[in-house]
Order: sequence, then C-alpha cells, then structure tokens
Amino acid sequence: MNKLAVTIGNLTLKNPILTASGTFGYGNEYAPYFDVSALGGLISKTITLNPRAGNAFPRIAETPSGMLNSIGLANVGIDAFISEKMPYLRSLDTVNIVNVAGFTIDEYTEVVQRLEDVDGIDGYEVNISCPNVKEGGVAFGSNPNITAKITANLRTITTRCLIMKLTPNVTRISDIARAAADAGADSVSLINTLVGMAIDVRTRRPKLATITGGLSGPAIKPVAIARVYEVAQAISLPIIGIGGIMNADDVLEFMMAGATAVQVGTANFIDPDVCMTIINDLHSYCEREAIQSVGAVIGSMIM
Amino acid sequence: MKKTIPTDSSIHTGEVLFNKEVAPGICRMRIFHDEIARTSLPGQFINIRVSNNMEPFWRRPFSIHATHADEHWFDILYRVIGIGTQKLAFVKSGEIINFVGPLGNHFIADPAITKTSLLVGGGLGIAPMVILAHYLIQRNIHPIVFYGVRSQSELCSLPDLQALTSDIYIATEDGSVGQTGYITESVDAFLRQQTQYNELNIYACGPNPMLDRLGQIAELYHVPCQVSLETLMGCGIGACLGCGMKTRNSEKPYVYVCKEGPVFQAGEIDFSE
Ligand SMILES: Cc1cc2nc3c(=O)[nH]c(=O)nc-3n(C[C@H](O)[C@H](O)[C@H](O)COP(=O)(O)O)c2cc1C
Ligand code: FES
Repeated sequence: MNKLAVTIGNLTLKNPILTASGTFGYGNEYAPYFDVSALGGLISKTITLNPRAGNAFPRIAETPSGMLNSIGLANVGIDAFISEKMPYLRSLDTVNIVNVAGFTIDEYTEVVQRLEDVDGIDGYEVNISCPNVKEGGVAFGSNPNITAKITANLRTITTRCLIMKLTPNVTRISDIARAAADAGADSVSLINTLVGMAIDVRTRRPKLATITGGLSGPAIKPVAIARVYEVAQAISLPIIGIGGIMNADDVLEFMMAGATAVQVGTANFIDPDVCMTIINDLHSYCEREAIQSVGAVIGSMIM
Repeated sequence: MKKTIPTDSSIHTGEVLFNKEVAPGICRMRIFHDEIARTSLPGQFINIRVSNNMEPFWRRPFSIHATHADEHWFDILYRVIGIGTQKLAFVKSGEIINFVGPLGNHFIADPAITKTSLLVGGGLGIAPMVILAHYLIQRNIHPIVFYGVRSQSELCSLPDLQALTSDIYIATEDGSVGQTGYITESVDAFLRQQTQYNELNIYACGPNPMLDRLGQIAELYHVPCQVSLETLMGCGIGACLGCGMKTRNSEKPYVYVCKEGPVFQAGEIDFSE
C-alpha cells in the first residue's frame, strides 16, 4: 500500500504534494529538474477565457523570507492552454488540476464549460482569491454569497473534483469556506497570497508598479497554518493547505493543523526540485515513525 | 530572433576555486564545474543560492564570464551592491556553491555573414564579453571590444580581453583613461569611419540607457545588434513571470528575460520605461 496516498473528493493523490498555481508554470518548466509525474498532483497557472499580458513591471519584489507579486493573472488564455499546454499535462502520470478564474460570475462557468470537453483534466481549482486584478478575484472570494453562487454554478456543470481557493484577506475565512462547502465544493485550498506592500526608501517608489501585491513564502506560513486550523474546525471537507512550505516538516505542520494535502508554491522558485525532496522526506518520515498512512497525521495536533 | 535550444539546465554544486576583489567593489569568482565549463554558451547565466537560510530569499543570477573546458572551471564577475552579493563576497575558496544552470538563450554568431563583431560592455556588462570573444574567435569572427566604465579603477578582466584581441576601445565618464564620455559614442565614431557594414554586427550588455542608444546607432548603420538584458528574477526558469521587459510588439507586449532571453535583438525591446 502507498503510505503517502490521500483522498480529495473523487481523487486519490499518490502523495499530498501539489504545486501551487502560478508558481509551477504549466509544468514543463520544471521537467529538467525532476520527474514531474512524481507529484501528488499538478496545479497549473490560472487560466482565463482570454489571454492576459499581466500587470506592468516591476511585478515582483523580494521581502524578508518571502516575496511580493502582482503578476495579474498573466496567462495564455484558454484556447492556447488547451492546444499548447494540455498535451504535456496529459502526458504526465499525475493528477492534473486546472486553476481557473473569471472576471464575472458567468465567466467562471464559461471557462469550466470549455474545459469539460477536454480530457486529461482531473479537477478544477477555482481562483476566487487573486489580489492582483481589479475585477473578480478577491472581490468574489471575500463575499460568501458570491462564493456560494460560483461554487453552485460550477457544481451543476461538472462532476470533476471542485476545489475553491480561498483568500486570507477577509475577516473570517471559515465563513467563506462554509459557503463553498454548502454549495457543493469537494475541497477548499488556502491560503492565496496576503495583500502586502514595500517601498524602496532610496527612491521613495513602491517596489511594485501596482503599489500593492500578494505576499508569499515562509513569511506567511504561520498565518496560513492558523487559517487552515480555523477552517478545519468549521467544515468537514478535505482542506488543501498552502503558504510558505519549504520542506517536509512544513507539510507535516499543515497536516497536523488539519490539511489533507498541501501545495508548494514560492519554494519552487528557490529550489526547482523541492517537491521531489519533500516527497522523499515524507517517505522517510513514515518509515522512521512507523506510520502506515500519512493520513494519520491529518488533524493530529496534540493539545 | 532565432531561438536555439540551450543545454538542459540542472541544479548543480561546485567548489569555489577563488573569489577575490578585482576592482573596488567588484569580485570575480571561479567555480570548478566540468559540465558548465564545457557546455555553457556566451550570454547564458547561472542562478546562485547565495545563502542556505532565508536571507536573501531569492537566488541571484550571474552571467557566465569566462570558461575553461580543459581546466573544468567557469567564472562570474559581480559588483557587491546588495545583501546577496555581500554574502557572496564572503564565500571562501574550497566552499561549495549551489546553482541552477546554464540558463537562458545565448548570443548567436553566424560566420557565414559576420566577419567582425563589436562587443560592447558597459560596466559589469563586460561580464559575458570574455566568453563571447573566445567563442567568436573559434568561429573565425574578429572581436573588437568597446568597454565603457565610469572611471579607470572599475576596469576588470582587461588581461583576459587582451589575450583574445588587440582591438580594445575604452571610454570612461571621468576621462581617467581612453575616450572621455559614453562608450556608445566610441561605437558611433567607429561605425562612422567604416565603408562596409554588411559583415559587421554588435553584441552588447550594460545599463538599459546604453542598450537603448546602441540600438539606435545600430539601426542608423543597419548593423544587427543583439543585447543581453538584466532584470529582477524571482526564479530564473520561466515560472514566476516576474522578469518581463516591454517590447515594441503590441501582439506580445512583454518578453520574459530569464527564459526567452537574456539575449534579444535590440529592435525588439522598448527601453522607454
Ligand atoms: C509569482 C506568483 C504567482 C501566482 N499566481 C497565482 C495564480 O495565477 N493563481 C493562483 O490561484 N494563485 C497564484 N499565486 C498564489 C500561490 O498559488 C499560493 O497560493 C501562494 O503563493 C502561497 O503559497 P507559497 O507561500 O507556498 O508561495 C501566485 C503566487 C506567486 C508567488
Ligand atoms: S525570473 Fe521567473 S519567469 Fe523569469
């Protein structure tokens, strides 16, 4: 039996390691560094109906133990995704989750509808939490009614695994998670980036052209752990933890707080093979601790 | 521009053979690594994990400065300016460095067309010109180096260049050596004196205003000009989409320097921002 296998909705992941959207390109960027098929699953860059060039530059800034980004959902658009990116993703022996976004409620439905006819897709992660776009994004994900509406709309058109990706930039994330759960989501993933800002004190200019952006990396891990713990108390769906994971201990921490699986994001930029290292280390952990299934770690924090 | 497929990049470790100050605030590091020494191409870069803790958080990209296949080493040249390069400057010979590479595309040379190339380096932009001059000579293309700095003390790697070509023009902003002023004006003056342009081309690396001006000069004389760009890089492997430069093509408003570059035709890039 595979000790690392976990279940999210109708999906069995061979291990709990997924890649976070926007940090892993469309997968092939990482092919030189490790066998991408070893992942529990791959979540590609957010796809929108039309191609997007993204925000002005500079759109990234280095911060203590992390970074800010305001990429603005730059992506190839759904047509090019299907024709140019899907063949590679389909060829992989791992769960393929496509991250989608829209700028209106209906656009989410439209994007998923288009993808329903495409084979080789195992699930959708719905980005209602991007802090770097003017319409949609965080505005949807911070409203429980809109979250419920988008979730319910998508539930009626797909039986594929439906994961709602939540923003931490809200007063109470568990309210949003509950709205998604009640409307038929299979899972929630959290957290997307935290709104942040940095100024170059020599030039007095903001370090990002958009002034504010999204903070990611180890700097946000304690916030993410707290949010995962909060949501785990509120809903019974499997939770996918995201935020600042750099190594296997970080993964275990998220799982102990209540996550069933995790996503590795910014760490991929620092060590392009970090996911492989983490998966190997999780195997060693289970051996060492004589754990039959890594699932035993989920919610196992001792109080 | 024509895209070539660079050597597959991987994560490597290599021993530092030396790491020393070669001009005030400028260091040269030699790393023992057979594969990079043999396979990297001029214009390509490596992305160094400067610190094992979080400071600095990102890797730092450096152009490959020189290689020696038989002695299995390659060099980088860097100015100590921020936390990353400050930490790098403390690395001692014998220590092991972790880096990703070789990354990016490279300068392209076509000996069937080009007989003479102008290699224009501004400041640390001289870094890729040593490996490039070497590469051109192997292909029977004559390199002429144009090297611009603020002041004489900043000149680095002159012996390396002199070993490869006797045609070296220097310009300093303060007039301490060579022509006084910007190196771009030396290039302009050189081109003005030529009678034949079709066997010439330009390779350049340096500050954006220099590359911008050089692109204009190249256009004036109808000489092809490849420029190597420098930007902030979050990943170096085409994943973060943070390293863009504006283009003159509204269909494709940005290029990503780490993956689609760092080398572009000067005419592709919009330097106005
Ligand atoms: C450069 C960058 C681009 C991102 N793009 C997206 C995106 O397109 N869609 C999305 O849902 N999340 C995006 N994210 C957020 C990540 O998926 C993740 O939620 C966040 O970075 C926190 O995880 P980390 O600390 O492990 O990076 C992006 C993050 C970064 C750093
Ligand atoms: S540095 Fe990340 S895409 Fe170029």
